[in-house]
Amino acid sequence: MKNSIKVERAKNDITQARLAELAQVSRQTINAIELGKYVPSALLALRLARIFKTTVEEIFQLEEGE
Amino acid sequence: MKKFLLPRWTRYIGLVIIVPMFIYFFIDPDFVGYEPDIFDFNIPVLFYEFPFSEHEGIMNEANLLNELLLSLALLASWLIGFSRVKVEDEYTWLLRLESMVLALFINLLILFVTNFIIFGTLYLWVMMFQLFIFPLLFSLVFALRLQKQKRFSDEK
Repeated sequence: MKNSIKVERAKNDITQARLAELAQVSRQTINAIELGKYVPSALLALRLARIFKTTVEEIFQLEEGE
Repeated sequence: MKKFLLPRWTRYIGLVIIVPMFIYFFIDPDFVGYEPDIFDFNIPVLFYEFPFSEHEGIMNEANLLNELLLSLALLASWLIGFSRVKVEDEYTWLLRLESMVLALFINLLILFVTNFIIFGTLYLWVMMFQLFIFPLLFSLVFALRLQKQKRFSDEK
């Protein structure tokens, strides 16, 4: 699963630390999600979408074959 | 799942109380010879010597140093392994779960290897360490993985 969190962060001028604070997770978690090492739960995905004022589908996309 | 975790400060208590265990290990690696009188107590004993040799009644005098240290090691490994990290979230839980699986795998590997290279009564030593090596291994693997992840995200 790919995601556009890095892009959304850049658009909104938010650092990983600030996003982590807003989403109530650690900075390491945001980093792991951005790098595709960790797929967040539905709850965290919805929380991230709300922070960026967009939808989950806009941020997270399935890759081919998934 | 957070309800199973202990406060963060308990980790430091665990680290402090595990020290006597290691000191004792260096004094008496066999865990049988060094038995100061101060730890002699009259306690109810179900089985005194393996397999079930006779003993005088229910109450018997026993040196509890080994038992106390083992209990301390168990307590310490619980305090270290199950204390909260700074920010407890779902990724931390994944790391914790993966560390537990890895610790179990290493533990089984140790058992497998020691099964072939340690024989006789020395194997009791392996069994004794098996009592607390898993939580200690888990704590170590989890701490290393957390540290690695933190260093990695710092670099990024």
